[in-house]
Amino acid sequence: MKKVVLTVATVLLMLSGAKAQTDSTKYRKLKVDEINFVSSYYSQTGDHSAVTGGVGTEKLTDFGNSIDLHLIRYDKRLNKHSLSFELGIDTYSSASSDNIDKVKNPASGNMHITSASRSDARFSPAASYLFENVEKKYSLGGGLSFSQEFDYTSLGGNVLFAQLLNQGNTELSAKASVFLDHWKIILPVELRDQENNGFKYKQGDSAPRNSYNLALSWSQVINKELQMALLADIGYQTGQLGTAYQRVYFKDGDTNADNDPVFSEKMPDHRFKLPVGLRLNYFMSDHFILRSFYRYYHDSWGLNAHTVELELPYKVTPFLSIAPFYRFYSQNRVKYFKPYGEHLLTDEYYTSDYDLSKFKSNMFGVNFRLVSGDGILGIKPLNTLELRYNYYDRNDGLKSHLVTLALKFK
Amino acid sequence: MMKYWFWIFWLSMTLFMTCSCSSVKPYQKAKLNDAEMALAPRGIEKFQNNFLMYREGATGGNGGRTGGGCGCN
Repeated sequence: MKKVVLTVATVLLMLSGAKAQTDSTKYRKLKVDEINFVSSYYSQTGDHSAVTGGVGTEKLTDFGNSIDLHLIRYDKRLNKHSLSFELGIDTYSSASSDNIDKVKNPASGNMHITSASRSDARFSPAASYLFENVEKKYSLGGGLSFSQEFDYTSLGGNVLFAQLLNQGNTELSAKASVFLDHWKIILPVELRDQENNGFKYKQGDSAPRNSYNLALSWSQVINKELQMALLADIGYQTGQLGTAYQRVYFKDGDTNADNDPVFSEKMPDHRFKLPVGLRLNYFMSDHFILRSFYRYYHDSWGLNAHTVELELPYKVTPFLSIAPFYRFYSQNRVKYFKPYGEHLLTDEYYTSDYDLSKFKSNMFGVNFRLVSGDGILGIKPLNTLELRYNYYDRNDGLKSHLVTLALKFK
Repeated sequence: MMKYWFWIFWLSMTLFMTCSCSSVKPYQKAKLNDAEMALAPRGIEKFQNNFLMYREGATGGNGGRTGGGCGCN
């Protein structure tokens, strides 16, 4: 709560600074361009919790909110300067996280829960700046981000460059990002006091996880109704990439006090990722637009995946659109995945996290979008109202619902 | 299988490169500038992309967020 207050105060200070600048000269007016508010509720069920070794409930709910503020000003040469501030707050409750502290009652022999980890909040402020040169048609910017939850801290930075070519019909861009994260190690309760638990960190240790990304994109206007973008993200991660409190049960050996052959998940300390994507949007008629996306993904853990998304916005009027959408996703398993009780103690790396198993998923839903320059629901600055519903179905039994509301004030 | 998809992808790219020779004037871009035609995820997809990043092994390549956070819930 203290952090929320501090961030709100910082944003207000920045805004007051912006207002002070507004009064200084005419051409340097810094003004609020838009304020976006996004709120969502996510609910999930499933029976392959990684915390309990690939078996057990995955019930989870998440209530997420974010607000972002965009400020712009034009300088003497009419170049555009944009400043953005964002604050995200999520609160979640997770039945599987609750089982990190699952313990056996010595008297009854029954399992019972003593966890304080069943719910938590994630707090994530971010700020960015973008300069757009109108004459030379390039943009240059950068940003900083921070995120904090009970056992995880992430500090991120990025720089980006984009160049418009061919009378604005082609745009090439590059964005380099670094995330310097720290994980407070939390082991499953039964492994905390063991000398030989097969894990390099002890309970409470701080373990680094760094991510480096280079995102490249090429956007191209094909004709008056068709445009595409080719996207590639070259990613490299290093550090603690396994999740310490996720259990892996083995076929052989007795490795803890309860005679359960169990260890913490262990994964390689580096991972190279290469996703490439293609977006293609087509204005089919006065009422229908086709938005499409395909992605191929490959990484050094042996995971290959395909994603196809199709969305068909129907413009009821120029201001109201309804867009049904469908997404198909398919992946093979990483080399280190095996289900509950199938790993061998000779395995170098091991996980029973079904997010890394072989599966297919289908997601569909609908997006309503209402835009009005005169205000919506009698609120004059409310420019856009969007409502989106998603249903997600994974063929290993995981199902989820997501409802999101987005409001744009201008 | 991987090679198959790879070649389809690069063939598509080459086709688009060939198509991109024609230039569309700014006054002809009314349809391209429609908000629904944006070549990026919608702002409202922020939380959807977060949960997909957590629930699936593949991330990135969609113009959205690419890292940070444990993805462990």
